[in-house]
Amino acid sequence: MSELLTCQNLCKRFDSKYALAEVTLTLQRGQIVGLLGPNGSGKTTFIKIINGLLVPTEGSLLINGFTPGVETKRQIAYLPERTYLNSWMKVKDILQFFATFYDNFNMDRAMQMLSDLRIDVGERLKTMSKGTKEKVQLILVMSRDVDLYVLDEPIGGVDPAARDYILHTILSNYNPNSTILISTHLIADIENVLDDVIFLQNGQIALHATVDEIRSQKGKSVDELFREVFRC
Amino acid sequence: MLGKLIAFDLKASARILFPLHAAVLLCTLVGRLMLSVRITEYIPELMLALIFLFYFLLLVATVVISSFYFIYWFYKNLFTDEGYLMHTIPAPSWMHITSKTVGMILWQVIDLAVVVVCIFMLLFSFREFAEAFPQMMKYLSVFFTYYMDLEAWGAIALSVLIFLLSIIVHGLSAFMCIAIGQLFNRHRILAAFIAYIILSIAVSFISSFIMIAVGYDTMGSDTYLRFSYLSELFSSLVLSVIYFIVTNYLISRRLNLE
Amino acid sequence: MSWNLTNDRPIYIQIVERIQMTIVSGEYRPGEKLPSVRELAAEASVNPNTMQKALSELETSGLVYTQRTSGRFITEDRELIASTRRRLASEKFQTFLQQMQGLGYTREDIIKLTKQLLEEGTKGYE
Repeated sequence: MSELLTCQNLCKRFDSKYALAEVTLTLQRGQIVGLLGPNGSGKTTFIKIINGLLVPTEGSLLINGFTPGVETKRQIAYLPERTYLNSWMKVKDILQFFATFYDNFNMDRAMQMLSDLRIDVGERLKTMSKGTKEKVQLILVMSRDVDLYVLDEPIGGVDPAARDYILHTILSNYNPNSTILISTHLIADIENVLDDVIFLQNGQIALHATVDEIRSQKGKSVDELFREVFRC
Repeated sequence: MLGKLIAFDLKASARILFPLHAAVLLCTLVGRLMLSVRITEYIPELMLALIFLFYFLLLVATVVISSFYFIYWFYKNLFTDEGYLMHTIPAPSWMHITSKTVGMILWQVIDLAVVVVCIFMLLFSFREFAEAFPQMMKYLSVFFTYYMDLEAWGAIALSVLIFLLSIIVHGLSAFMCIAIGQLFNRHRILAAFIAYIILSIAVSFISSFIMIAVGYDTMGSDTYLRFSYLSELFSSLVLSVIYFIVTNYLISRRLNLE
Repeated sequence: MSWNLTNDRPIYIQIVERIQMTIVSGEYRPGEKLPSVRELAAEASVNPNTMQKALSELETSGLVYTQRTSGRFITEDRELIASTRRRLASEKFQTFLQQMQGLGYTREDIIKLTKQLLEEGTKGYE
């Protein structure tokens, strides 16, 4: 099946406010998709629903035909915006954790990437800088062989050199069976890497098109279009 | 998967709990040796009192920390930032609850064993203990056969069951209150505490009501003892199941990570 | 190869142009094997599907061909390369011509100026 994620009239309500309203979309395999929108547009809510951390109020979201649960968690690698690593662990402990709980974790690849970035496996997470912790988290996620990668602000808090490495890693780990969903504010840095973009505004889809379509039809970059659409 | 989770929880909790219990055992051993060699006669009374106080506080601290550690761990591992990691591994919510409960039981049992061993170590020498032990067992079995109409082994099994169930029911009630607390966006821990207080009041109110309804004040002391054992068992079981189901529902359908 | 990709035009078109340049300038020799789509995409920091699209275009134009098990190769058709080179040069020349005329130069002036500047250029900055 080439459709990996289908979402039909998805709604999520908190008290009286709708964080997501009637979202309908499909993600195909082998695509790198950008989820773009200002703070409060519903990106994080959408991502949490994909990962089974929130339950929809109405509508459906299916990954490989399953609602978010144990089967989907096996096939999703999630990089949240925050640091989720417990600080008492060493890098090798968290590697062991991933190898234990995920049977599609590629230890060799993780070790290779850690050595590329000169991160010591014996170092405690507590003593690492924020940027290094984020790199470790990204390496852990990209070392899994799954159908769907969900990256929430993967390049936000890192320096430009690390940013290049991260984009390079995403591209070299690309495989035509998997989909990568990237949620970010730093559109200019990333738009060359995207197939499709989804603009989310007030919990609804404002735009769902390919990067090339936007550039040829609107004659401007995705970054410029974004600034126009979401002008304050 | 459950086994892996339990192993993980045990490894994480052992970081704190193992050194603590090892320290207690070590102190006890040192104290025992001191007593055997009768050094105590050479130490001024004040210092002896202080040493004893320190040891006693250590023991109390160990017991307290052991009881509360897994409740703290349940909150930290599942409802803070770590939750983003734990809730995205392919394990259903009931597995997380079970794993933490099992870990809690194991450490409570270890804790009890360590405390008992320490007390006996200090009070008796090995010879005295070896003599006293069969005597103690006889007293216990008399107690149980007379009051409970049970064979000695059945009685021990029942006591063990009640002990385990009481750990489970108290642990699960705390877990459930934490799960209730995380429903709120602010003051989550405070909400958990308040939920716990309300729950305790409600449970004791209902159980008093049931006791009066059944007419406990009119039964003889023998019947009362048997009745209270069995009702304790039954209520712990029922409450445990309720708390587990509610906690599972809250985690799987109403998770609210910050 | 430095990929200077601008933001306002479709990426795959820019990639096609860039690769054409490397072929006609001789940077990529005729018959040379190209890296895989993924490697090229990672090098250019673009989406592999976009790179694939660009390479398909180049295949259609004949500058690149695929051998099923061995990969992608630059064409050995030197005439095609030469004619592509001339076409690209002519496009660049048209742009140059327009710009010079925009400055007010006539065709004779342009030829005179070109000769002058080229001679100055070969003398170098002594």
